[in-house]
Amino acid sequence: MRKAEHQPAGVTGVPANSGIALRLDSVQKQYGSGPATLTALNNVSLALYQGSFTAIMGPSGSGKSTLLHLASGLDKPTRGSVHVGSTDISQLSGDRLTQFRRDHVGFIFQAYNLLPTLSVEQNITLPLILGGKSADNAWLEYLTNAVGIGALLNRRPAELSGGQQQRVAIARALISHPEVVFADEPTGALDSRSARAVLDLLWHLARELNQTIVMVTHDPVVAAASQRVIFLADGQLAGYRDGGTAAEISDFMTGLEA
Amino acid sequence: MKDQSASISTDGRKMIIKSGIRQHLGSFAGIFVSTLAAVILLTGLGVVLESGLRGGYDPVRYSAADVIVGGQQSSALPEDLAVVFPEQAALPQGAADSISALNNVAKVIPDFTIQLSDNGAAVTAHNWASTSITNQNLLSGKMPQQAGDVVVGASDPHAHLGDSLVLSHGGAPATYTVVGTASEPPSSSGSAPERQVFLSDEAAAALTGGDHDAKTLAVFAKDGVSAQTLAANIQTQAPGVDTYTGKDRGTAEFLDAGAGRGTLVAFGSSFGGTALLIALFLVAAALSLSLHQRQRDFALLRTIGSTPGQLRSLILGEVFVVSAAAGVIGVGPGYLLAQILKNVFSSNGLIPPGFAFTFSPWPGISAVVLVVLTVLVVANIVAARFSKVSPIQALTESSTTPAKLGTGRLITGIVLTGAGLLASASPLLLHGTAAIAAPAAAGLLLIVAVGLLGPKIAGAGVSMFGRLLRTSRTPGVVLAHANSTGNARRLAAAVVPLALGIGLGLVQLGTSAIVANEAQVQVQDGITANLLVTNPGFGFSAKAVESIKATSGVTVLNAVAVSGATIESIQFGDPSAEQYALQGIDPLTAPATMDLAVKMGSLADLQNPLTVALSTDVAQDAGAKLGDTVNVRLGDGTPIKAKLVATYGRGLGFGAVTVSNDLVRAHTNTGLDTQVLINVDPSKSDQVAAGLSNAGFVVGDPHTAAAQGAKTRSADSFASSLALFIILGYVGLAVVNTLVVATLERRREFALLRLIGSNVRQIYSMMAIEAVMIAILAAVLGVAVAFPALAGISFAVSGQPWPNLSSGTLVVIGVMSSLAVVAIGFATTLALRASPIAEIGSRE
Ligand SMILES: Nc1ncnc2c1ncn2[C@@H]1O[C@H](COP(=O)(O)OP(=O)(O)OP(=O)(O)O)[C@@H](O)[C@H]1O
Ligand SMILES: [Mg+2]
Repeated sequence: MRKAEHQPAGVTGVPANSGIALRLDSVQKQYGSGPATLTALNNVSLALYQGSFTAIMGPSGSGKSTLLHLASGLDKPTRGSVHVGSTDISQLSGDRLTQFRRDHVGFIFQAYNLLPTLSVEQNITLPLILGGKSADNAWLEYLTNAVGIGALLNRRPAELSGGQQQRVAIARALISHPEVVFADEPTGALDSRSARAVLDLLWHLARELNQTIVMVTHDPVVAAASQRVIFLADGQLAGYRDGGTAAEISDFMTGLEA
Repeated sequence: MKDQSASISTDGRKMIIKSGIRQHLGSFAGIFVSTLAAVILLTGLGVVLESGLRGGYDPVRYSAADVIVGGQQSSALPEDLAVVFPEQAALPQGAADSISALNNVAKVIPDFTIQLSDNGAAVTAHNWASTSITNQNLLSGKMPQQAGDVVVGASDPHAHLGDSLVLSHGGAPATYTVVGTASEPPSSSGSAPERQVFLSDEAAAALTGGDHDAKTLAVFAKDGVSAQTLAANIQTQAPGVDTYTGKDRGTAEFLDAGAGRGTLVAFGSSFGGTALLIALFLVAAALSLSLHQRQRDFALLRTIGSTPGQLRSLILGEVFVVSAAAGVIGVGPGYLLAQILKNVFSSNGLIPPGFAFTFSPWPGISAVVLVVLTVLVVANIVAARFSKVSPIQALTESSTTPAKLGTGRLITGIVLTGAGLLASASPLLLHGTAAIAAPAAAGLLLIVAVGLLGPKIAGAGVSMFGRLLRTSRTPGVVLAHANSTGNARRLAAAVVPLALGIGLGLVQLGTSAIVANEAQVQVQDGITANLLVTNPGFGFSAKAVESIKATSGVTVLNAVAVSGATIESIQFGDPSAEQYALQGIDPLTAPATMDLAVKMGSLADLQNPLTVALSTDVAQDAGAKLGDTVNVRLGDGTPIKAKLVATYGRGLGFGAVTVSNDLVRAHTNTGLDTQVLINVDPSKSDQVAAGLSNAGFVVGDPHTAAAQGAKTRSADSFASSLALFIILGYVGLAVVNTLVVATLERRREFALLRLIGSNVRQIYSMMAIEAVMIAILAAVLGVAVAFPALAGISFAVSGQPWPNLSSGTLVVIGVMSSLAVVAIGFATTLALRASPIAEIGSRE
């Protein structure tokens, strides 16, 4: 049933028939005030199509995490607006924003994604539990099998490897059929082999489910697998590249960092 | 290689300890707070103890005398604390004469102090000769010589030279003529000045109880003779007296401070012990929580090659630094606490006003040493468990593993539980006061047992709760359920100390409530007279009793005098002395006015000389049967060998020792009766009551009579309530600290929840459920600990296994358990203040 709904889309290129999943208009983020004001993000505008897989790259401190926080509604822009689907989330606040995030946004952190006292299954269904909804068992089974943790549902996070923990985090980010899934260096805490495996999984799932994904990464090879790489430098957009090779991306990055 | 890993250099160790403490300030807060509070408590209690032994009064009226001589005020028992007599002891026959005859004595002046009243207001009378002790002079008129003469203070507001003044002694009025005025007495700092009058020496002696001799002599030395030399001289020349010199003279002047001293010593020593015991558990709880949070650090240290021994010495080093710092900081507030306790004690009459505390450095020093040592011993035990953990085990062992208890601890806990339950049940077999003592000790045994087994029991409780919560789908409940079953250790760390506090509180308050309640019931059931007449503060002289007896309509009169008696007996081969409330009754009229629930013998036999009746419990303790001879010391310490003529059941209400009224009054300071029970001709009841009220007496319903046996306990029970309050405060502080620390540690968890989409309300409701669970478990466990002991005591005292508790016990349960809710609520609010991304975000 689900599979029928989520026909794998083309690997490259943006489906012409899809709408905009995420739009940032002249977004600015400042920290602090007065002379100590730091502009972490300045005048960033971008739009991402539904089902697109986007990588964000840039030197350390360039504002990648800040961008993700604003785009996902975890933080509010100082200026500008953010739309997720057709909702202007910069206009939402308090419980309405929380609820919107719960239902329409998925997030995968670098580490500490899971609550230690909850079982794997509870961790995955946590957004549903919090929304007072019950999990669709077929969907849960599909997801957990897809990320390869179907046999670990009753374990606790401490009993999982780092790679397994990130797979659980992926399943949780997807459980509520979110508009966009954000991932901030989701494999930054893993060794390169398990990192590659987790990223492959994320990428294939996204394609299979036509899931919009925005991911911050430092790995040019990972970035090369995405449809579009957006580069940030000093809080500003520094360009983008569609379908570049790892070598090209790496070169561009070296240029930015110089 | 091996050599390198065997020892970390001292500098390196110091560095690791310092950074360890700095990085884990939160988790050390628990140890810091419980050590700090323990040192404050023990310093304060130490000062109280030392003051009981050495503090007291500066002499006021006796400050000019070199040596004060009194009768022997205590009987020293080998291997036991001295028993201090409640009434002033008599001087041996001829003591005054033999002291006067000493060649280094300048003068010997007898001192009499008598309580009179002027229209219900207190007036203190002394003999005229005592003015030369206090250096008071006659300012006008003449000194009192006749029985009806009185000299008043020059600034007396109510009486002037030539006036006639009506002063009552024990309710019997007498008219005096003011024949002179005297200068002001030496002023005392603490107490309010009392209205003072002087009678002739003969008149004063006539109003004194007993054999009308002075019980205190002020002795002045000849020039050049020191007070100490004179005192030593007196001791050899007039054996059987107590001498007081210097500051000690205050003890003789304020004899009622003696009881206060005993209270202070008991208070300081018994609650010092309890405080240390509690500190032990609290520090252990705080430490295992703290070490648990740092298991990963320890594992890392183990991985890079530290031995368990090194780890242990690191932990001990940290704990030493933290507890020593807390200890040093706690000393100052400890002395402050002592000062506060002193004020509370004196405003509640446990020590008379003006009683001075001794402030020496010793209580502070010993408190720090004792507490730090205790903490280190506990730390050594707790650290052993954590330091032995293998590196891999520590890295994988999650915070969700259930609490594991050592076999030794488990077995000790189980044995103590068994012993506690057995001791609670002992009243089924035992009788007498031992039947109260055993369950009271059982309470303590069970409390220690819970301290040992607590984490296991709390874990079981949590999983029981979990089963109740499991079916719910409400987000807060689901989360709380997962957290509690997944982290029983965290809950146990809060539940166990709270339960200990509740258990301790219930046993202490419950015991005194059960006894007080039973005493009141005994009085209510036991007084059968029509009317109860009292004269609060002033009592009844023989004359006053006669006038009541002569009142038309009074058919039967039983005057009751109250004091304290000491029963000396041989217990388990050792001499022992126990003090009990003593009542003196009219043996012939008593049966018509009071029902002591006589079990054997007859109260009428008390009219024979040297006879005594005892409550069945006390008779049993003393091992005495009807017709046996009992060694009794009366109020002033006079020993008599009395034949046991009756045993009765209502000792708690009326006093455990009963003798004839004359015998009691002959050995009290005042020689007065305390209350009068009368039966009246029913048709003249109102008339009698009105007449007695007019005479200044209080006429009441006999059922309102205060229980005599419980009276002496009321001061003790105030003291123990106060101590309880302090100790519960200590437990509360430590628990609040533990909960706040444990909750703040969950900031990241809260942040994650919020990022995933939980709102603040859901987090509050999750925490509220956890808090309520802690509160309920603590209450249930606390009650479970206290109940067997209380049931045992209740059975021993009243024959009812269901304890009759005061509302105070409910307050203890309520306050202690709501602490959990308040602390968690507060800490949750704090933990939620930071924005969730700042807390976790994706930067770590
Ligand atoms: N809460 C904050 N307060 C003040 N400044 C902040 C805050 N968060 C981020 N910054 C600053 O904003 C800038 C962008 O930070 P951001 O975390 O977005 O960088 P990044 O691109 O994710 O870097 P990295 O690759 O190292 O994770 C940095 O200069 C950072 O110091
Ligand atoms: Mg970042």
